[in-house]
Parts: sequence; C-alpha cells; structure tokens
Amino acid sequence: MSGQVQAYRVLNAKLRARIGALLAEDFFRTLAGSATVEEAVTALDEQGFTDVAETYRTTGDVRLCEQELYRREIGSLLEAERHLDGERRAFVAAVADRYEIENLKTAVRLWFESAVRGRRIESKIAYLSRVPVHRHIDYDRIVNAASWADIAGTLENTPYAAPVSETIDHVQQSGSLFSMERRLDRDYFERMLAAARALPRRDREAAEALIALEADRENASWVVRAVSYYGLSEEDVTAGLVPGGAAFDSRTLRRAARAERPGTELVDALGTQAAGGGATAAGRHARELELVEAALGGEAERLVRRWLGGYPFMMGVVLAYYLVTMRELRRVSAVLNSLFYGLEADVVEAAL
Amino acid sequence: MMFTSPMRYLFAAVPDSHAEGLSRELLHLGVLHFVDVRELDRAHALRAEEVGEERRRIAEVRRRIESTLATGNLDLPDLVSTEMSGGAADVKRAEELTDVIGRQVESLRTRQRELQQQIMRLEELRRQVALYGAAGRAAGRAAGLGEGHGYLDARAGTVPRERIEEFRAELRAYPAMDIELRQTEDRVEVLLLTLKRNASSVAETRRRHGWQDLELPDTEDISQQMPSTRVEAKLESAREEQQELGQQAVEAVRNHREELESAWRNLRHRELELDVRSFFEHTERTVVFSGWVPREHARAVEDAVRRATGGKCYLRWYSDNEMSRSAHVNVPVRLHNPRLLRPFQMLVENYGTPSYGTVDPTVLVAAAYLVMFGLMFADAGHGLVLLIGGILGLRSKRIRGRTRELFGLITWCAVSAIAFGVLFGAYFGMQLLPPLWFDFHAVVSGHAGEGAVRSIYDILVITIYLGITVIGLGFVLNWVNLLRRGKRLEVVFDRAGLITAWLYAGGIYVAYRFAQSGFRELPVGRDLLFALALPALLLLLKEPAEAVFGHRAGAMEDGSGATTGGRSRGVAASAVAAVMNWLLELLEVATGYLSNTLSFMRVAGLGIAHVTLMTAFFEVARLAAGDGGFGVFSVLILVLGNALVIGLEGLSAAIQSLRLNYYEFFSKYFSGSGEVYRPISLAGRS
Repeated sequence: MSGQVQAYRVLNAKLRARIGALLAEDFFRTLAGSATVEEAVTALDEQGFTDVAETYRTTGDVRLCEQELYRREIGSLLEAERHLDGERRAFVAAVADRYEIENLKTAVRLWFESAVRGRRIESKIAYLSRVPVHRHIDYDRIVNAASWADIAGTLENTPYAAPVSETIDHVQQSGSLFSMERRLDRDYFERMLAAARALPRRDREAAEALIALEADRENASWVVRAVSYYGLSEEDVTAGLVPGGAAFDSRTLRRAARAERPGTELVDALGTQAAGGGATAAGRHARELELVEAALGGEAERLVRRWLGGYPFMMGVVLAYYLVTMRELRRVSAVLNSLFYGLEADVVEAAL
Repeated sequence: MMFTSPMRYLFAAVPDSHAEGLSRELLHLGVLHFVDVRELDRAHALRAEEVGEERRRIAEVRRRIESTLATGNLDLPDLVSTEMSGGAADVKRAEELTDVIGRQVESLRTRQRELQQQIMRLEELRRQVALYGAAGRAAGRAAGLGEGHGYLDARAGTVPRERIEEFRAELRAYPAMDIELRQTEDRVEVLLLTLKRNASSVAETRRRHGWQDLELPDTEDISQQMPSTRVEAKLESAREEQQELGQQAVEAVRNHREELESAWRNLRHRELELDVRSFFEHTERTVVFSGWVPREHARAVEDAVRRATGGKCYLRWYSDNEMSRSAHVNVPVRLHNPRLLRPFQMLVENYGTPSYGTVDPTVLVAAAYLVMFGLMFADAGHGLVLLIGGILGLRSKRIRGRTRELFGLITWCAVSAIAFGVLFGAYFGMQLLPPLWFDFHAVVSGHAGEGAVRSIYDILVITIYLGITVIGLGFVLNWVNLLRRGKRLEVVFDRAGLITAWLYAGGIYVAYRFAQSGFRELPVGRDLLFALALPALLLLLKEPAEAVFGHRAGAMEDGSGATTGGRSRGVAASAVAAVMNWLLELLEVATGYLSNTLSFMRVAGLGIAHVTLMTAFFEVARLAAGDGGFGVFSVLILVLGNALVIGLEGLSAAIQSLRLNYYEFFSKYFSGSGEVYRPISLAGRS
C-alpha cells in the first residue's frame, strides 16, 4: 500500500461518509422558512443537531447555540488532524490554529474594550470561546489582565507571544488593535505555507490551493473593511495583507487600497475567474464585500468539487470536508441568528 | 406473495359536484396509485384542479404544529378517520393556536435567556473565587484582602436598608456576589465581591446607593462567609429555575395537546385530500382521474366511487397488459407480504423494486438470510440477548418506520441464532445441552467425535452446498421471471439461463468427481463432453439465435447493413464478434460462478471465527483466574467477551448475509427497474 493510501485510507472513508450526511439543500430551505427559532431548532434536532436543540431548550440563548456550532466546527477539523501523522498532521494543525487565533483576538479585543476604552464587556465575555485547540491559553487571564505585559506573559511559549509583544507599542500609539491582529494573521498564513511546503506533491497542491483561497478571502475582506469602513492609508492597508493569495496580485491589492470602491476593483480583477462562481448572480445587489465573498465562495465550491471528484487518498478530501462543514455550520448559524433577530424571510433566505 | 401484486387500471369520469366527497372516499380507501390523465392523452382539453396555494399554506401550518408538538415531546397522533370540518377557517384557527403557544414558549425562553446571563456572570465569578480559594488565600492573607486578589475585588461596607434591594438589582449587571453579614437598625452590612475590571462602574453604583466602607473582616471569616459554595448555591438555584422554565415550556404545549392533535389531524386530512384532488382533471362539468389499483381492491374502489357519486359515474377498467402495451405506461409494483416478513421486504426494497409481474423474493430472502445468519452466529445464548434487544425495540413507541423494521430483523435473526445454537449445542460459548446436529465448538477445536461433520472442511462443504442451493434457486427464479415477461429466448441464453445453468451443474459435477478421486483426476471422455463442452458450444449459438429470432431484426430493418456488400462485411464482423463474445462469456461464467459459489465459504469462516473468539475468551478467563477455576475477574472477562462477540460478530454476520443475498442471489434474477406503488392514503403518499 502506498504511503498516500496508507495515510488517508481510514480518514477518506470516514470523511466521505460524513460529507454524504451533510444537510440537504431542501432542508436549508425548510430551515429558513421556520417562523421561530423554536421551530428551527426542532428541525435541527431531527437532523442530528441534538446538542444545539438542547442548548436552546435549556437556555433560550441563540448565541450559545452558535457556540455549539462553533465547537462542532473546531471538533471536525481536530478529529481529522488526529487521524493523520507527520507533516500532514502538522499542516492540518496549522490550519486549525485559526480557531485559537480567533479566540485570542476576541479575548484581546474584550480586554482592550474594557481596560483601554473603559467599556462594559459583561454581555460579551460569557460568549468567549474557551474550547481548547492546541495550546493551553488562559483567555480569562487575558480578559482580566492588568496590563499589556500581563497579556504577553500569558502567551509565553506560544507562537503568539512575539506578534503580540512586538506590536504592543504600535497598538498603544495608534489606539487600535489592527496592527496586532494583522500580524497574528500574517504569521498564521506563513506557518500554514511553511507546513504546506513540507507536504508530498499531491497534498501540497491541495494545501496551497486552500491557503490561496483563504488568503484571498482574508485580503479582500481586509482591504474592503480597511478602506471603506476604517479609512486607513494605503501603507497601513498593504502592511496588513497576508501572504499566499492567488486571485489578487500585490498590484491589484494596492490599487484597491487606493480606490474609492475597493470591492469593485477586486471583483473586476477576478474577471473570468469569478464566472460561474455566482459573483454576478449572487452579488448583483449586494454590498461590495459580499460581492467579493460570493466570487471567492464560487472558487471554494469549485475546489470542493475537484477534490471530491479526484484522487481520494489526499489532503484535498480533508480540506473539502473542512470547507463544506464550515459552510454548513455557518449557514445554520446565520439562519438561527436571522430568526432570532426577527429578520424578514428574504434576509433569512439570503443567509443561505 | 410469490409475485408482485397484479394491478388494474381505472379511468373514471364523475360529475364535478361530487369531487369533494369522492376525494374523501378515495383517501379513506388509500389504495389508488394516481396517474396524471394528461400523461396518457394530451389531446383532451383538461384543466388541472388548482390546489397548490391552499395545500402549501396547510403544509406550512401543519409543519408548525408538528414542531410545536416536538417542543412538548409529543409524538404525532395517528391519523384516524375523523370527519373534517374542513376549509380555510381551520387553517386560520390552527395558525392562531400555534401563535398563542409560540408566544407562551417564547416568553419562557426569554426568561431562560435572562437567567443564562445571570448564570454566566456567576460562572465567571466562580472562576475567580476558585482562583482565590486555591492559590490566593495565603497571598491574600499576606497582602491584606482589601487589596483584593487576582481579578477579584473584595470589600465590606454598609448600605441603607431602604436602598439594599435596588443596590442588589443594579449589581446583577456585573459578575458580583453580595453577602449580608448583619443588619443594624438602619443599615445592612455587606461583603461585596466584584471583579477588578468593573471597579470604576461598581464604585459609582456604591456611591449612588450610599455605601460606606467598613474594615474587612478577618480573612478566615471571609473565607467561611463567601467561598464558592455560595456562588455554587446561587448558580444551582438559577439553573434549577432555568430547567423549571424549560419544563414549563413543555407543559405549555402539553396543555394544548388535544387541540393541537385535533388541528394536526384536520390539516393533514385536508392536505391529503388536496393531494388526491391534484390528480383530478376538469372538463366543463366533469372530473376525470385515473390510477392503478391492486386487483383485489378494484371492487372496493368501484363501490366507493359509485357511493360517492350516487352512481353517476363512468368507470372503465383496463388490464395491466392492455395499458403497458397501448399506452406504454409503467405498472407500479406492490410487494404484498405478511407483516411478519416486512423486515425482509425492507431488505428487498433497499436493493431495488422488482419489475412488475416478476417474483417477489421476500420469502426466499427471509429463508436464505436466516440460514446464513444462523450458521454464522450459532449460539442460543447470544441469540437470546439479541431477542431481548429486538423485542425491547419493537415495544418502544418511539421507534418507528424503517428503524422498527430493523428491530424486527434483529428479532428474526435472534430466533435463527437460537435455533442454530440448539442444533450445535452452543449456549454463551458453552455446551449446556447436547447438540441436535453436530458440536460446532468440538469440530473447530479439533476434537469432534463420530458423526458426519468431523472437521472444518466438512463445515466448509456444508456452506458450499448452501451456496449451490442458493445459486440454483436464483437460476430457477430467473427462468420464471423471463417466462413471465415473455422472454423465451433469454430463458435459454441469458447469463443465468438454461445453458449457463447446465454449465454450472456440469462444473459442480466435475468438481465433485475430482474431489471424490482425492483431487487426483478429472472425469474424462463422455462425462466431460456432456457436462462442459456441449453447453459451452451451445452458448456459441446465442448471438446467431438472437439475430434470427428478432433481437437484431429491428437494427437490420433500420438500415444497418442495407447494401449487399455492407451486409456481407457485417456478417463476417458479426461472426468474429460472436466468437469473441462467446469466449468472454465463457470466461465470465467460469470465474463468476466459481467465485459466487466459493463466496459462501465466508459463512463457515464467520461461524468458525465466532467459535474461536468464544474459545479464546474462555482461555483468557481461565488464565486470569490462575487456579483453573473462575473468579470475579474471569466472569467479567467472559461478560465483556460475550458482549464483544454479540456486537461485532452480530454485525458482521448481518452484513455478510446481506451481501450474499444481494451479490450472489439477487444478481441471478433480480431486475430492479420497477416503479414503486405509491397510493395516497391516510398514512401519506407511502
């Protein structure tokens, strides 16, 4: 048995079975047609989301249901990681670090809100995810930290210590967490790229395709937010870009950083790549960011189809599972939130 | 039961005014598999009944009721034949009912949500208190508690009595714990625990409510006063209240159970009636509809239509042959077996729907499956455990549909395991009673006494005989199916036709003679010629026979090989192709049927594995006891071993039996191209 087959033989069967059991498109339409959250969680209960339904029936809290979904999302990737060895495991671990970084960023934001801006964080702190990913990070210590030094101390012996401590000065000067968060993201992508380079050819190609997709999403989202919402300078915007993207080259991103409507620039740059991916159909009336995300969403679907339809014993199956699971859980989450906030049916449909 | 149910086709025209009553009658009968009349004859100027919008609305409200019932942990009621009060007013009432209950439940959820906020704040405080209790007590004592510890801010003070409730209410917005130390005439002494990060906001609250600082009590006193048990108690009470609210939500639904069930029945009834009416096509003053009815129900349907219309109807019945020939429509397939055999019917349906008019293999599958399972899982004790599990599953009201059939299958398998266990004298891996057939354990262990079955080879031979029987039965069923479908030529030349069966029988004969000679010599001369060579040569006639008797006639008439030269080249090419096909088919038949037959040896393999595993567990149990007897640990090993064997071997035996049925048996005769019979009945569109 070849190394590639050996590495994925169990995982491939398991993940394909799971992918086969994902929620059907019809079900999502039924879910979006629910009149209340109660109805939606009942429908989810029948589809194996008992944990989510139980959480709602005990607490009435949709955000806790969302946390259950998030826990599932993390769990699905960590489970795949456990089934792999060596450099393959290291790559999936590098991908899964994303959840750790998101938790860390949330904790630091909460601390910043409370300690620096003097705002109340009581309603948010309870929803801080404390799901362990790879390293033991005391998020409560971060939220309750007395100083920046205390936060940096909490992160000792983790890859996050350097990006945090090295950007503290800039954060203090600018009064914003951007530089720290972007540095954490950039390091994350660099670690993923390094892990991908260690993979055998077939796996590496899949890994790099995922990184490219994620980096494009990240960069597009950053540029649009940084320009449209925060009004950052071109230098600040480009300093926050992450490596590994494929759809947008540095010139395009710079041009978008200068543009009045950066999203339009990016969609134009996608050109034919966005065709068939729903950019024009799904995003015609949507905001710029949604337009870009819709285009890149099409690319994700194309990748998933290619990986699932191709050679079965490779990283692509794991990454396809990761992408489809993430998409499913986020759609469920979006519908629950839309229902909770009493949004109109068409908005709920749009969440799909 | 041996064949799919014979069907008749009904075409009916009734006055428009009777449509309502008629749809109700047909629904209650629940045997008509409707066919859209326009699919048969597009020339008619027919207008379909508009039921879409009403049906959609009913389905939506019905689903809401189902969701509400689920919130109350209530199952759907049976759809008994209740009279409908019918119409849109019922939908509105049902909608109002779900709205009222929905609002009640929602208000309880809101309260649960508020409590959850409180719980989360208390949990955060608990985390800090735990930190204080574990590591910080000593440090707190040394540093002075007034400085606080970690992220906690502890302080003592007094608040005016009239302000204390308001003060407490405001503190609920923070992770905070206030402990009343004592009351004086006009003030309340309080020990207050908050988080440092809220220090400034809490200080403002304290100021507004007239807080006056006191010196903190001794650390030990505080430790006794405020430790985590108090937070725990508060948390516990909040959680209990939250659970209570959850229960109230359930009760809020249950209080309306009868109304909900009645509304659901009403809506579902109406929805199904509309399903029936969606097949009604209208002319100026009449309604026409058509569909398939099992022959034994044809009279009942006719009576029902006449009753509903007061005899003012036009009915015309067509036979299955007439319809499939003239209108080229598929006749729906209905498998009709006794309730007890439903689990096996499920296995058949899982594979496919047999073609109309062919053999319904349910009974034969039941027999083959149970023999295979029994041989692989022969232990009366293990069977008994399965039987208990199966019966418990069948008795559970929550288990429905296909899962219920699965428990039925487990029960059947249990009976088979018990029967074969008794035949082989196996009871939880022990021989409590002498075997009625042979001692499987003794044979596998190599110390079988006298008898027909003395070695593992004898067991393997038994399973090969079983395979030959099953495959032979497959041949016969194939011939029956082909004859019933009028494919006489294929009865002779099919892949499981007469000639192939002759070859298969010849192969078995040759193999038998070879084995009888001690695997030294094959039969020679006339035997070999008659057993193998003759049927093999006859198979060469397949393609010419098909060409002559019509299979290729159509193609030739279409123009292939239309010119003389072309035809001669076509004949030469066909001859070469026929020889090539013949060789390939011979190869396929030889390897295919050999592997099909040997495949049944897995039955012996799993049976032997079952025995070997049990023997191994007994050995381990003996070794664990050390003195040759059985101790508590040994019993534990045996219990776990039995559980493992029941779970794993049971699953393996069930899967392998299914595999043998699907691949070795069904592949010989089963043509799964039928359309399922789906009447509209009170059970839905089945």
